[in-house]
Amino acid sequence: MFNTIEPEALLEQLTTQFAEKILLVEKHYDVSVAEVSHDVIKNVIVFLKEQGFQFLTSCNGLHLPTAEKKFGMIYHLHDFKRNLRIRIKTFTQNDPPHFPTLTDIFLQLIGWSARLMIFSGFVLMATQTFAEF
Amino acid sequence: MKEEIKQELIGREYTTLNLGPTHPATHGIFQNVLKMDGEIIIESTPTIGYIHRAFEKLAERRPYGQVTTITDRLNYCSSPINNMGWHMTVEKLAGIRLPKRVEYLRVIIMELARIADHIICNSVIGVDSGAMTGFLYVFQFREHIYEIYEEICGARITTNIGRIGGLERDFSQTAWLKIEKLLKELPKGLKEFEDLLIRNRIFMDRTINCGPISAEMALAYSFTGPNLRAAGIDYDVRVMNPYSSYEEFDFMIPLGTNGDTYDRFMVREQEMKESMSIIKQAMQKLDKLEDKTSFNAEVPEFYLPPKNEVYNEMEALIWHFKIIMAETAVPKGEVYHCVEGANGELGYFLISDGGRTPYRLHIRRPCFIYYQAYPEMIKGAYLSDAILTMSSMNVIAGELDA
Repeated sequence: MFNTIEPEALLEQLTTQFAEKILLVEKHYDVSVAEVSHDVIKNVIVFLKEQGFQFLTSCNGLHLPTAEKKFGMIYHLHDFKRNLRIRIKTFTQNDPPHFPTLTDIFLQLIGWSARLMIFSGFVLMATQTFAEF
Repeated sequence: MKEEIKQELIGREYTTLNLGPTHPATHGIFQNVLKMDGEIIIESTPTIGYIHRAFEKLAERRPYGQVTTITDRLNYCSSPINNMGWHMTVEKLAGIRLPKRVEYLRVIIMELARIADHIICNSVIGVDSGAMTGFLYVFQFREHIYEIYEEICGARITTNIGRIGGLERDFSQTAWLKIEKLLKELPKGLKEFEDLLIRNRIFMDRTINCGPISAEMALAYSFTGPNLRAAGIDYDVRVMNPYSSYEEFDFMIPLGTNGDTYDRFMVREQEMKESMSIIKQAMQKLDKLEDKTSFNAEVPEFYLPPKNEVYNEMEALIWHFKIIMAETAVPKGEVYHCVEGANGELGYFLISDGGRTPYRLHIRRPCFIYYQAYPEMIKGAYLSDAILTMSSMNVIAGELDA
């Protein structure tokens, strides 16, 4: 009933569109995973949304103190129609970490979702500061 | 409607009302600072964090088995589902496969938890709309369910049911008798409850078009569970990404159309009936299984050996020690596993570095997500409707804050 597109095809589509900006594609258990260059993360999310990944399952920050790129954002997206899940990861070595806001794409991220990120030290570009909320 | 209200109220003086953090009608510790014009809400600013316990951080210092007690305290109205979700996440990471019997037993526990959760939510909607009696009619069934939990695991609310690799013990004969009793008596109790409310003019007037959310908005806010289904979208993790053999069960996904309080109430009512059907099916499947005894997988590196073996056998003693001291190897990797919690998609995103505790853990808590939409849902509504909207979304503070 579902799964009319193979996850591999989806990752290939992504790689074709963004070429070397897709740093890594793999499959972790039942989820396709792509690591994306920090500067195109918003474009990738917009692209995936246009491809049917309308549902943001979750978004969380990640701190890897011993890694070269210490800070990351992880997005879990879900395409209900094809029942596909994808995990998009992006990392940066900047401290404090700057990431583009996605509040204009997913309403889930407005309010406390963004505030908690800001509170944790993430700078969400083109969004309000913690004090302005 | 909302625009008309807005235009009409320009230039007026407003009052500020603190709804919470310890208001009895918020059913938990969270605050809403409301800008009011008389009884009408102009704007709402929610505040969270009053019972934030940093569960995700705490988990980084706990062996995998000890994280279960943390999950109890998320949505404590349906702790067993949280427990099972966590166990399944670790089992997925470690590649543990369970016997069918264990999966069916888990299904029974999870569906009992769903019923207990929905009983609380729906009876409280009644209370918040001024109907106390229904609450008293159905709450006894939650007690029955808690008694079943007691038989299965020895606890009632913070259940800590199960272990990584199965259940800590088999269901006792008393537990089976109590489940059968519940399945026999609950339909009658639910009917009594529904007779009081679902065609009650006052209840309908209070709940229909109260706190509505469209399917598009519900998706944009990443709603899941009964709140999304009430808006007309048939997303259910048990069907989309089956776990614990849910794909073998025949059940319906109830849907609403308006996404309002009445629809959310009705979806939960119907889901309780479906849960009963699933429990019956699981019992039939268990009867047909040749395996009548197993309640855990053969994974000595994760599953504590029985006490009599620990006292008498060296190998069992070593495993016991290794498990308690978190010396068992968990593979490196990252895994996302979700279950259909009573409130929606409850997901665990776990990163393991092969160490004794989770390296990082993120919990997708549906209540946290619902709460982001709350200000939008109550804008332009009456204060009394905001209370009902909150009840019907079943925002549980423990899960909201984590």
